Amino acid sequence: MKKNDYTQYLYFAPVFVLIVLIFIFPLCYSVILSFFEWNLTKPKQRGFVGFGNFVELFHDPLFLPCLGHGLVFTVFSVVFEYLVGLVIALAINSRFAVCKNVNKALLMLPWAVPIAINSMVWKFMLSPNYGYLNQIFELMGFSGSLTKNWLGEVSTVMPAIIVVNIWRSFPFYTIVLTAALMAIPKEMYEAAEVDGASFFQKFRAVTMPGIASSSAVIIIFHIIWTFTNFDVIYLLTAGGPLNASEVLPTLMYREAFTHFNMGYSSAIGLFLFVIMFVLMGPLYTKFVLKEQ
Amino acid sequence: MGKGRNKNKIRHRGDHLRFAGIILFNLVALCIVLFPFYWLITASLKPDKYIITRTFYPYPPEVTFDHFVTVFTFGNLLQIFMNSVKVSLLTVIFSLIAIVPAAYALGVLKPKGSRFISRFILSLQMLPGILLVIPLYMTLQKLGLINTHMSLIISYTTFTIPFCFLMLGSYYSALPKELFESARMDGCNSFQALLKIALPLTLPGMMTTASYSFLQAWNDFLYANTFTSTQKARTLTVEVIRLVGTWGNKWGDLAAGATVTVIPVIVVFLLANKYIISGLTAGAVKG
Amino acid sequence: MTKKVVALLAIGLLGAMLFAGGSGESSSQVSLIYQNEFDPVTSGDGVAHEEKYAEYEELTGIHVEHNILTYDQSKQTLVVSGQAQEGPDCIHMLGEWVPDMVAMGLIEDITDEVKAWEDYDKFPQSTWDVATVDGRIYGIPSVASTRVLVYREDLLQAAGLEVPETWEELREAAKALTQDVDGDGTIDIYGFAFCSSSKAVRGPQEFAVLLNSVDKAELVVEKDGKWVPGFTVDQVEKVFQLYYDMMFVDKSVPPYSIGWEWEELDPNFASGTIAMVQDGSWIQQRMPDGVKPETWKTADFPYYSTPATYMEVKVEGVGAFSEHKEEALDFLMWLYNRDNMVAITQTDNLPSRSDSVESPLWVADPVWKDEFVENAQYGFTIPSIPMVSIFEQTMAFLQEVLYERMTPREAAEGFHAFVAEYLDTEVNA
Repeated sequence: MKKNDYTQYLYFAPVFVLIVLIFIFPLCYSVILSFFEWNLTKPKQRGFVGFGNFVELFHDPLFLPCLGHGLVFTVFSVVFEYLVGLVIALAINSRFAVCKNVNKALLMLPWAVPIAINSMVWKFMLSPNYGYLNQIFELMGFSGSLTKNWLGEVSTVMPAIIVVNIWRSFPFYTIVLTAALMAIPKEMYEAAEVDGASFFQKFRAVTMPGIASSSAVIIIFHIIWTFTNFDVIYLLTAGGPLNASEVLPTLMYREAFTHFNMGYSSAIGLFLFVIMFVLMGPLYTKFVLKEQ
Repeated sequence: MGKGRNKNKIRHRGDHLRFAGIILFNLVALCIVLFPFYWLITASLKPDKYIITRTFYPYPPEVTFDHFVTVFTFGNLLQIFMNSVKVSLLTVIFSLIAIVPAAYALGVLKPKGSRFISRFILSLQMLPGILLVIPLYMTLQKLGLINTHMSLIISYTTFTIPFCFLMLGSYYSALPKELFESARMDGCNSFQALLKIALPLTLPGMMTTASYSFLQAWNDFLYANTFTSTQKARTLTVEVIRLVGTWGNKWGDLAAGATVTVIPVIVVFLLANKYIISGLTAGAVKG
Repeated sequence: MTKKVVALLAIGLLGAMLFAGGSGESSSQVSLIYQNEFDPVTSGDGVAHEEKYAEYEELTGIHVEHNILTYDQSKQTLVVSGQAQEGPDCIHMLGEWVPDMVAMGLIEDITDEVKAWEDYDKFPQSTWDVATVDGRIYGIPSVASTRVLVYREDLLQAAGLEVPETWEELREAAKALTQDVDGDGTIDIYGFAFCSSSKAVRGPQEFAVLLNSVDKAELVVEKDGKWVPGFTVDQVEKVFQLYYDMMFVDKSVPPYSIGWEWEELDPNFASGTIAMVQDGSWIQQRMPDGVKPETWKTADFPYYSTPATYMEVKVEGVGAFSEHKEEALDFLMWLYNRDNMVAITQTDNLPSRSDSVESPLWVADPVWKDEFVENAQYGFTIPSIPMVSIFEQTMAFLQEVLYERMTPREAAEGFHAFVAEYLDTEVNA
C-alpha cells in the first residue's frame, strides 16, 4: 500500500478525537490545577503555588504510609494472584482435567462481576457477627483465635483486602496462562519425558520459558492496575481503620471530595501517574510494546 | 469430550491418583471462587432473619421472593437496569467504531508514524482513571453532557481504547498481507478492503472487544457515580451502592438488587466467554 | 458475510442514534429536582414524600422529580456539579454541610424570603441557627432528631436493673447485661456499643453528646469573635476514659466493634447483640419482624454531670444553579408547612416545627416521639463553621485509644491541641 497517502490517517480520527477529549484535555487541566492552591470552600485563598502542592505531599504524614500500603497491596496481590492463577491454569491444562470451558467460564466470574457488588458481598462475608467466614471458622472450632473483625482491625485489614483483591483478579491470570500453556507444543514435554525429566525439571525447562512472555505482560498490567486501583479499597474500608489501608488513590479521593482540595488532589494523582510512568514505563516498553 | 478419550488419559500407574487429585483440586477451587455468589443468591431468597444472624445457614431454611418484589416495585430498578443495558451496548458500538479503523490502519495500512501512534495509545493505559474524574467532569459539562448517558458512553469508550487496541491489534497484524494486495489489484480502495476482507476475518476479535467493553461499561462505579446523579440517568452499580447506603441493614433487598445486576454479566459471560478468553489471550500471549 | 457485518453495523448505528436521541425532553412544564435521601423502600417517610410531590403537582402543575442519593453520594455530586455551575433545585442537607456549601456558593441566600414567611416563628431559633452562616439564612430547617438511650426493656428487667441515669450506672448496667446466654463460651449479648468509624458520621455525634454531658463542654465555641476549643483537656479525657473503660476494663462493648459505623451499630442492636445504644428515632423502623414492640424503650442518655443530647437538624436549601429558584422555595415552604411536615415525619424522622403538635395529623407516641421531642429542649446543635476535619479527628484519636496506641490522657491532649491549631489556622485566619 502507498505509504504517503494522508487519507490513511483518517482511520485514526475517531480514536484521536476521543483521546484528546477524554484523556489529553482533562490531563492538561489536572497538570495546571496541581500548581494551584485550589480549595473549593476557600475561593479567596486560591492562587499559584508552583510546586507547593508536591512539597506538601512529600511532607504529608500520610504520604509514606500510603506509599507503603500501596506497595504491600500491589506486591502481595500480584505475587499471589500470579501463583494462584498459575496453579489453577496448570490444573485446568492437565490432561486429566474435565469440562475445561465451563470451568474457565465459571472461574472468570469474580473478574466479570462489578467491583461494587463484589466488595459489598465480601464486606458482609467478612463482618464479625453475621459474616459467613467467622461462622465457618467457629464451626471448625477456631472460635476466638480466628473470628475477627477482619476489615476493622489495623492488623488484619490489609491481608483481608489483599485476599479479596486476589479472589477478584486471579481469573485473568488463569485464562491467559492457560492459553500460553496450551500453546506449548506437546512434543517438547514428550521429549523431556523420554529424557526422564521429573515434574519439576519439565516445569523449569519447558513450561517456564513457554509462559515467560505472557507472564510478563499480565504482571505488568496488573502492577499498573493494582497500584492505581481505587474502587476495591474505597468500597471495602475507605482507607480505615486508622488509615491502615489508606493508599494514594483513596487519599486523593478524600482530599478532593471530603476536603475539596482540588489542587492538592490533582498533585497526588499526577505523582501517581509519574511514578507509574517512570517505574513501569521501561518494563512496559520492553515487554508490552515490543509485541506491537 | 468423549468418555473414551478420558479413559485413554489413564496410561500409567498412579494416574488414577493424579486424576482424582486434579478433579478434587478443581472442585475445591470452584467452591472457593463461587462461594460469594452462592451467598449473594441465597441471601436474596432468604427472609432477613436468616441473614442477620449468628447462626450459619448453608442453605435458605425458607424461600421468599419478597426481596425481588420490593426491589422492583419501589426501587425503580427496571428503568435503571435499562439504563445500564443502553450505556453498555452503546459503549460496545462506539468502541468498535473507534477502534476497528485504527487497528486496521496500524495493522494493515501502516502509514508513517504507526509505531509511534501505537506506542502512544498503549501508554495511555498507565493513566489512573481517578486522576481524570474532576477535569473530565468539567469538560463534559462544557459539552452539556452531564447527567446524560452519552457522558458515560464516550468516557468508557475512551478508557477501553488502549486495552482493546492491544487485543484487536494482534488480530490485524496476523492478517496475511497478500489478501490486501490482491484486493487493491481488483480495484478496492482501502476502506472497501476493510469492510470486505478485514472485518469478516477479525470477527472473533471484534466479539472480544465487544465483550470487554460491555463488561467495563457494565461494571464501572467511579465515573457512573460522578457523572450521573439523577435517577433517570443512573446505572446499576451506582444504584446498588446507593442501596447499601440508604437501605442499611436491608441485606435481603440489597442482595436481590445485586443479583439482578450480576445475572446479565453471568449470561453475557457464559455466552461470549469463548471470544473474551481468546481475545484476552491474543492480547497477552504473543499474537 | 461482508454484507451481514455491514448491515449489522448499520443497524447498530441507527439504533444507537435513536436510543441516544430518545432521551431528550420537550415539555414547557416547570420541573424541579429535589435531591434527598428519603427512600420509599426503607422508610415510610420516603413514601409520604413521594405522595406529597404528587399532590403538589396536582395543586400547581409543577412536577417534582425525586432524586434519592445517600448523603455521601449527594455531597460529592453537589460539589462536582457545582464546579460546573450545575445542580438540583432543592437540596436536602446535613446541618454540618451548610457552612461548606455556602463557602462553595452552592446554595442560595434566602434570608429575606424566610423572614417574611408567616411560619418563620414556628421554628425554634436553634434550628434556624443551623441554617445560618454569618447572619444570613441559607435553608429551611426540616427534620430534627435528638439522641437518647435506646435499651432492651426485657433484658434490663431480667437482670433486675434500673434504667441507668449516669455514666457510673451506664457502666454498671452494661457490665451486668454482657452475658453468654447459651453457655458456649462466647458472649452473645454485649451491654453497650458505640461508633468509632473513620467515616466519622455517627461517631462524632455520640462523642459530642458525651462531651456535652461533662459540664456542658462543647467541641468549639465562639469567644470574642474567634473560634476556640469549647472543652478542656480534663473534660475530653473523661470522655476518652469512658470509651476505654467500657472497652477494656468492663469489657461490656464487643471487642470487634472498633471501627463500627451506624451501618453496623443499628443492625447489631436490632438483631439483639447489643442491649443499649445511643440512637435516634429511626431505630424504631429497624425493628425486625417478630420482636415485641414493648421490649424496646427509650430514656434520657446517661450523663456525667449534666444531661445532654445532640439535636441533629437537617436543612433544605435552594440550589444556587437552579433555573426555578422561586418555584423551588415556594415548594419547600409548602412541603414544610405545619401539616405536611407532620405527614412526612410519621416514621423515622421528627418535625422541627414547634407547632407540629397542634396539627390534626399529629399522633402522640409516648415511648418514641415524646421522649425525643422532650429532649429537644436541651439539645445542642453544631456550630456553623466547617467541622469535617474536627469530626474526623475525634474518631482518629478515639481509634488511637481503642487500639491502645495512646492513653486517654494522651489522646485528650492531642485532640485539644489539634482543635486549637485547626481553628487558628483554618477558621480564624
